[in-house]
Amino acid sequence: METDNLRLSNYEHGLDTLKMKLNEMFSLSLEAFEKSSKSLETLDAKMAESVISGDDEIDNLKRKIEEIVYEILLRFHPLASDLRRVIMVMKIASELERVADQAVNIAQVAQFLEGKTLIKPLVDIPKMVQIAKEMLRGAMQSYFEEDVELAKKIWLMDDEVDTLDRKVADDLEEIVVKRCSKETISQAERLIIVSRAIERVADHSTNVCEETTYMILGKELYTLL
Amino acid sequence: MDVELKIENLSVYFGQKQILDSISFEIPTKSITAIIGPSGCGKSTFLRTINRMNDRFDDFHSKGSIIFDGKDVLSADYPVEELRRKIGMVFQKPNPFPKSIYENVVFGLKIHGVKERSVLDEVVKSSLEAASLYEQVKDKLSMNAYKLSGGQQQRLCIARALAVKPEILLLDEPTSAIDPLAAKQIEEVLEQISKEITILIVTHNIQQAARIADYIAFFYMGKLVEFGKAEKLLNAPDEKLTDDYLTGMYG
Repeated sequence: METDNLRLSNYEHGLDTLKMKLNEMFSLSLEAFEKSSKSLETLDAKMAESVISGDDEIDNLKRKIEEIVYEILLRFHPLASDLRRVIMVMKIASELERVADQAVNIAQVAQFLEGKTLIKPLVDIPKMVQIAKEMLRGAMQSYFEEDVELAKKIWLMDDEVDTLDRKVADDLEEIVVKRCSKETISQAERLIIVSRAIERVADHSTNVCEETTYMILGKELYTLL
Repeated sequence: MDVELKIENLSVYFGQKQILDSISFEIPTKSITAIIGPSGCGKSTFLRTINRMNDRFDDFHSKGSIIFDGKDVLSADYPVEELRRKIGMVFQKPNPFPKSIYENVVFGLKIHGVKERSVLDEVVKSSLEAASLYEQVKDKLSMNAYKLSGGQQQRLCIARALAVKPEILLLDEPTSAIDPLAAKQIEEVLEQISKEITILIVTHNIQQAARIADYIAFFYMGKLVEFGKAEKLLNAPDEKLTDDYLTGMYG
């Protein structure tokens, strides 16, 4: 269904259009995150480049979603749960756009590291990627299926990622202290950026869980735990 | 939150028919409370019960109380004239008297025995100013009020109600019979005067409630479903019935 230049006929039509665009944005953001982590693991600069060049499409989708949200607000003045549904699409679109930005950060590190011998094999970072991907998928599933229990479950997974993020930072700090070379510091600095980027993807996923819960119940997620 | 009116277990009947069913809530002072709900939910009856407009119907009777200044306004010994001075009312259609603008504004004061010209002049000026009408009519106060536009007539009615210095102003869909620009002017007047007096407004226009109300009460089939701060009730109401009403408008 093409929505450009198509006047929204009613609120439901508008919301369906938004959900469709959000789903498209979710697929692209998840793909960007998957590809960026893959490009880091394989040190594939070409794959990393495709993540960076694909970011514009995601940004454009976010802008399109905002346009539709403004149109719905102007035409239909939604209230209560209808209003929350529209506003939360816009907020979740922002989370996804930032996930894609983090994918770009990871891809840029992959480009930098291509052809280099890593100061440390990637062990914890792939683990973090796995959890963050599961969180992002679960958070968006909770949104599309309006499943508060799933949102709560995913939200609680964030601690695992935070713990691994701290461990990566500690390990790299130790390596830098032991081998105080320019190359070591340079790589460590970038791997910390990667770890932090994955941690942020997990944070955006928890935000989606919170936004989904508020959309469904009108209550903050933390009050339900 | 200071309370201006305390509604306690209020039920209202016309003959055998129950119009309001055990309504209880507290209306905060110097704020705008909007009463919303579908047609026939009892919101206008509620408003009219507060200043005893229903007394003239033989089959009207009520239970419960409306406490104002520590007294129950529904008790038989509460002086209705005094009540209506303290609690003014503006109706859906502008209803100026077939008199001059000046005479319309001072009508209530004269009934209460105020005759001194300088006092009346001052009240006319301040009341018309409060209703954002003074600048438009100051040079034609002797003109018949019927010559004013619909929106101006409604603002004159607000000025007339304000002239007797009420503590509460009740408004029953005050903008439904006038154009959107005139309605906007009245909304601005209400927001301004709510700094000094308590306003209770019945409206079918949810967007109007969203624009001006500090608090909203949602009535459905004679019952109060939910009362709360406007932002909360319009965004995340506690009751499913409220949500259904607010979202059902697009069905």
